[in-house]
Amino acid sequence: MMSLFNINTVARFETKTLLRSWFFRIFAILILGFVLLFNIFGVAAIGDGGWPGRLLPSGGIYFNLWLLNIAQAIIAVFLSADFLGRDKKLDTTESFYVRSISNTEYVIGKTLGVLKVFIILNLIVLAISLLTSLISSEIAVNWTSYLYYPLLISFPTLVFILGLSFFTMTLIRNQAITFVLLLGFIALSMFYLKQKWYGITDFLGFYTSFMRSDFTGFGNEIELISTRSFYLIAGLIFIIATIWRLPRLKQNRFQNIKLGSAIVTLSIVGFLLLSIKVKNDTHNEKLRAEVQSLNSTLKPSAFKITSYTIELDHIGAKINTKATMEIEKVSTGSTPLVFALNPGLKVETISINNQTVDFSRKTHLLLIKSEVQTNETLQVTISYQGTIEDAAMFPDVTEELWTSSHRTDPLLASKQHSFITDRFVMLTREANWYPVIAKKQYWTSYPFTQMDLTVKTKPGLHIISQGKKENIAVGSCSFLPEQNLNAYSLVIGEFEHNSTNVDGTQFNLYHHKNHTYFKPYFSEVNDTIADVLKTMKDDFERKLGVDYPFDQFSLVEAPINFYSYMRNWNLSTENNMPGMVFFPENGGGTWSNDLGNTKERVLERYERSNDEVSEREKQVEILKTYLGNNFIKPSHFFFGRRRTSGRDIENWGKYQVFPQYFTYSNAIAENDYPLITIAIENYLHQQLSDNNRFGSRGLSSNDKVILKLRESSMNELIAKEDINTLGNVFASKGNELISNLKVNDVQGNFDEQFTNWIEDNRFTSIPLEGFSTDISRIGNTDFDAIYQNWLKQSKQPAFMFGSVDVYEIKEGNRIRYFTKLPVSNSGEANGIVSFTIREGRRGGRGGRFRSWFQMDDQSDNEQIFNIPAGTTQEIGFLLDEEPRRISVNTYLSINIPSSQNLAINNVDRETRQVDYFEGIRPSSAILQYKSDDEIIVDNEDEGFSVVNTGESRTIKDWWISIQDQEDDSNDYGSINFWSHPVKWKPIINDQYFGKYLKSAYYKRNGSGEGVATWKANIEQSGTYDVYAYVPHVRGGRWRGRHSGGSAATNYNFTVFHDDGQDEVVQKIDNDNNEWVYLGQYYLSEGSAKVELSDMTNGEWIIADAIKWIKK
Amino acid sequence: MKIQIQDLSQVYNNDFRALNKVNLEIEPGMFGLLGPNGAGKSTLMRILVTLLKPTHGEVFVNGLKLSENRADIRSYLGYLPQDFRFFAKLKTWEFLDYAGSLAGIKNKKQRLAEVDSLLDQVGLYDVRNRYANKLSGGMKRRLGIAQALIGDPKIVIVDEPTTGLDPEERIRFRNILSNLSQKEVIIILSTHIVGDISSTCRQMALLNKGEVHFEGSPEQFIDQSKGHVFKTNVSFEQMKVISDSYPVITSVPNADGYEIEFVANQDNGWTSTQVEPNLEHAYVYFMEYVANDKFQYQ
Repeated sequence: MMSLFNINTVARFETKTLLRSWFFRIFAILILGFVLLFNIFGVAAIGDGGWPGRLLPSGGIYFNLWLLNIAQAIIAVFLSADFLGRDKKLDTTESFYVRSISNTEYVIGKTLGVLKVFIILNLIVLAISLLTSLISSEIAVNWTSYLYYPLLISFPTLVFILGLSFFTMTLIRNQAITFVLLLGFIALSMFYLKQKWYGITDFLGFYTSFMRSDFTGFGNEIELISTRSFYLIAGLIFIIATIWRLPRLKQNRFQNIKLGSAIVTLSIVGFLLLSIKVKNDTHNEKLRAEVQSLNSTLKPSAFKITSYTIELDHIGAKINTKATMEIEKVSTGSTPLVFALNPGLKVETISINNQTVDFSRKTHLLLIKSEVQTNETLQVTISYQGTIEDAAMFPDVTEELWTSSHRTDPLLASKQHSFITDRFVMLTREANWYPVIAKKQYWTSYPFTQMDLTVKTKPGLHIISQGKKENIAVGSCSFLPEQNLNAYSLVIGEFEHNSTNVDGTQFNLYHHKNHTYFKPYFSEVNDTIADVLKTMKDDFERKLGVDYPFDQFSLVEAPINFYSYMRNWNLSTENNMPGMVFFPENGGGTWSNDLGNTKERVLERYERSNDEVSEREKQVEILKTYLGNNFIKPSHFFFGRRRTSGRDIENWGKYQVFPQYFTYSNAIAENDYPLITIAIENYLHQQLSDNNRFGSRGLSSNDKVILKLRESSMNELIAKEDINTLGNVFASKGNELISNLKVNDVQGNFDEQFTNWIEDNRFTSIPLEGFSTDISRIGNTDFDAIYQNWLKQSKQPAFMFGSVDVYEIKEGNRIRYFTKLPVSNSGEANGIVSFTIREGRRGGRGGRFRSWFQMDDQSDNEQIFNIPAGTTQEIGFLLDEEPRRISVNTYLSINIPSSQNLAINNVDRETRQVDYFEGIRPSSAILQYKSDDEIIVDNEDEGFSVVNTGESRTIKDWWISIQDQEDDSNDYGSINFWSHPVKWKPIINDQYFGKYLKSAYYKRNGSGEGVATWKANIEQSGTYDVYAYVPHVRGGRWRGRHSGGSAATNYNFTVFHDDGQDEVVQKIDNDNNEWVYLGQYYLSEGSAKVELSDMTNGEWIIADAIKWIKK
Repeated sequence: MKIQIQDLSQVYNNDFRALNKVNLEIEPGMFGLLGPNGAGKSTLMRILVTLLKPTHGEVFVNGLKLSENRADIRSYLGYLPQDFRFFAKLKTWEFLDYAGSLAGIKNKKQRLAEVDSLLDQVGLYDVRNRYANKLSGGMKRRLGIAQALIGDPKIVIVDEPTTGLDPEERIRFRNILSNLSQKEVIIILSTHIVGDISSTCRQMALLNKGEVHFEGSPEQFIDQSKGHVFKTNVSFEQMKVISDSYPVITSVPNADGYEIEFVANQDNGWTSTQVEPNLEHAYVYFMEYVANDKFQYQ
């Protein structure tokens, strides 16, 4: 029998000595201090803005324990490795070893002693967290979380790491090596292994989702509890192994037998626990593979569902459904009738025209065995019940993406795609909760169908779906369709419901009854909310050109663990359903949702402008900013930093309302990929984006597409590329297609006519032929020709722009500005170029979203011109004000960057007789990259080379060079103003020199060994003027005079010539001409050379181009 | 209470034979284990306190096999290791409290009373709140004996307890042990300092190179060397010769040279008088002539 007294004695004194250890005290004070500061400033949001995740349900305590867990694992390693080390070092320990206490009691006592100390630490952290939550009172405290989180996060990790360190110490018997090994293991599991091998090494819970929804809890309770218990058990096994390895003679004769059997038993339990997750994961993998492979076998179907009548009973954690469908045969030929239905839903019976029929089920596919002969309308009834298998959803999503974390800065939520629990149901189209016809690529384009839905659930729950709601009885209601829709969703849950009518559209807000933190911010605006919504809606629709298609708009709070993916074939995620946006609990911890933060920024803005505004006006402004940043023009922030551009889900913003206006109301019926639908959607979405980001840094997503399209047409790309990487290609190509249709738009009303067409053709799939006729008329073009060319084209145009001349002219009494420039296309394909001219002075102030709205007023007059291959054209604009900036977009030509700003010459106010014109006309001018007497070597040319010494002077250099390698070093980047590469790195920007590819190389200052060399072949001996191109670099100037590119930076050139070599030091600042004169030299036939040293007084140096001009 | 040691051998991994077929019987009272450094005393002690498993042989405590009844036997034990210098971060009284708890005094009040009484007994009451690490060497040793004595052990084993103590501390230490020997307790004291034995032990054994060379009372031990201790006066030159040949125990310088005591089988022609031997003489005699067969001097 174990003596509790002995265990307690050992534990008591272990605790005492640990609490007295300075190592522990210092570490504990550090971590507690950090936690305290985080809670005061981050969670209680005292001071300048808090951590947005504080608004997540149980976010505060989760984050506190998440932090503590990493810290305490490290402390535990130090302390517990010390445990036996100390025993060994302290000779006095032997006087205790001779006491009558069993090894088991001793080790357990020691463990409990250490554990007690950490429990105290945990309790303090929990208390701090709880107090802060109570004080800040922004969100309701979920009391049970204060029990669940320590048990799930802290406890298993502690037992595991204690056991592991004890045992490692008994094996290695060297404290220092044990430290290194264990800390290495922690780092390895955190930074390298991550979720590998079913996440078996993630004992810290760093990659495990503990996010707890107030609607649905953790969502993966069994898996969560089993994996966490696994670490607990593993820890116990290690502790028992430590008893066995303890360097003290055993006291109990049967000790080893007992320990052995305990280890075996616990191993079995641990294995079973782990197998739950492994089993789930393998089941999911298998299911996804099955769905994928079945989907790839699907053929076009002759059937079409024209209407649904669905009766759905929500009972416990299941739904019991009877779906009756009217089905038409739309084409001849005998194809089998196949439905798709989520595999978690078990089909009980199927009847056709009231006759029960045989069917077979393969995962999600439902095959009617009976031959369906008739041409008349069929009535098919399918009864099914069960729940939804999330793994069968989004089967096209790659394994990598599917298993990636759902991080909410920086906490982890699980990824659930549907919910059916006792008190909450959330089903979207992708859940396949109602049957659809399974035909080739049915998931990319669903038909518009009518649905009558009747739902029965527990009393007291709200039922939300599309259509007009009619209550039937308590806990039961029906939805009658207002339109035929291509997606239906169903939400059942406890909500607080607010609604207001805006211009005939019913705006609903459904939120959790405890999630009311937003209310105080809008206390004064209750009666103006409708007006604000109307203004914003009108602004948005004016910019977009189409009106809102539904009678209702509902904002529904969804569980924090709800997750949906962005796909290639449309710009919507499942967070958008017709007339509905699913917004994560309390905003999902995003910066844009942080009302406290938003308020502060709004107030700051008012303060700066010294405007006297009422509380109500302030609240209106907060509301506008909030809605704008979340639903109209969102952009993702990570700790205040904007992420790089690109069409990824973070940048897209899952909650933006754009898909409501097109994705769920329009479609062109296409056989394969819905390419035209995608094109229109992207074009429409482009209307919303500001062209403000011209001159953006590095490769834009469009530029990457250009690189991708260099060798292949889009058709070829679809065939060979992973479908998941095609999103950007679709976006760029789509935009290009519609822009192509605009070149004959002389009146400038293409957009208007086109958006009218979109509005007129809603809620039905338009056949391709119909679309082609209509669009050819609107655009005054031959759509089919353009479309075919667009699909197959693998050659690209190549543009060159001449100098932009501006003349002040008098037109009648008005002073106007005539701007003209030549453009040539030396490529093998016709191409289009768009010009956007910003006139007048720079202005505007504050607020990202605000400035977006302001842009409405200065409407960007984008004009698109077709430049046939092999021609030069002259393009003229008549402007009311001086042009400030001319941005050109060359779409998918070979020009990179595809968006650039052109340099504008000074206004010519002298020449009064100008032959001015507007539009495009052929030009006889020949645009040349260089004149005949010039030899230019650019960094893209063969004559250019760099020497990389790879010098790493400091650890930081080495780290940066590692980062650079990870950064995919072949990719063109941009100047990073914070850390500069040790090696020459290609960069891209419209300020750099280049024929079509405007690029350069740069590196940090160096010892002079890293040399860039330009070599040219001189065909004629003679005197040459030598120039170097040093681009002006915008930005980074704020770094002060020492930064490269700004102030005066020394460039050390070495010019090689007949009489030897000359070192030419040039002081470069932004006032210099970009072509810097290096001198006049006599060069004989043969090779000429110029070198640029990386030795400079600036922080970095750029190598671009060298020019030799024959005198 | 009785300890029987039968055929006890200990061979370490490096083939070093620390104990060789040791047979001893130990009765209550103070038992002195004498031997030079490296004789195997500590090994024997560590086997007796269950810290070490013997390679061969068995120890019986009150007829119980030590190897099979560690739980019971450990509950009889109090042990002061040879090195007793480094402590966990505990105060003097806490250290005793810990030892007392492990010795099985479950009642807190009783335990604290005993802690105080022992602290008083070993003269550490005034420093009871000082961290044990901060005590002086002598104090540490006294704390060591206190922790060995807490919980009324039936067997107290102290390994080289007086090494490094100043005479005053050493006397104090011997007194504490003597007081204890009034009770029915076995006290085993290992030492290489002869004086520790002479003043306290009724029984003793002499261990050398892992073997027992003598077992009995200190008087019997002294008797063995009767007639082998001589006293003489030697000149400076003679001193060199004689100290090369015989162990010289004392040498007091005088005008012509030294007055010395030396140990030998016979006086071998030196003009000398016989001296009544004490334990020290006996030890030297024994080590030189019995244990080591060192007759090469003659």
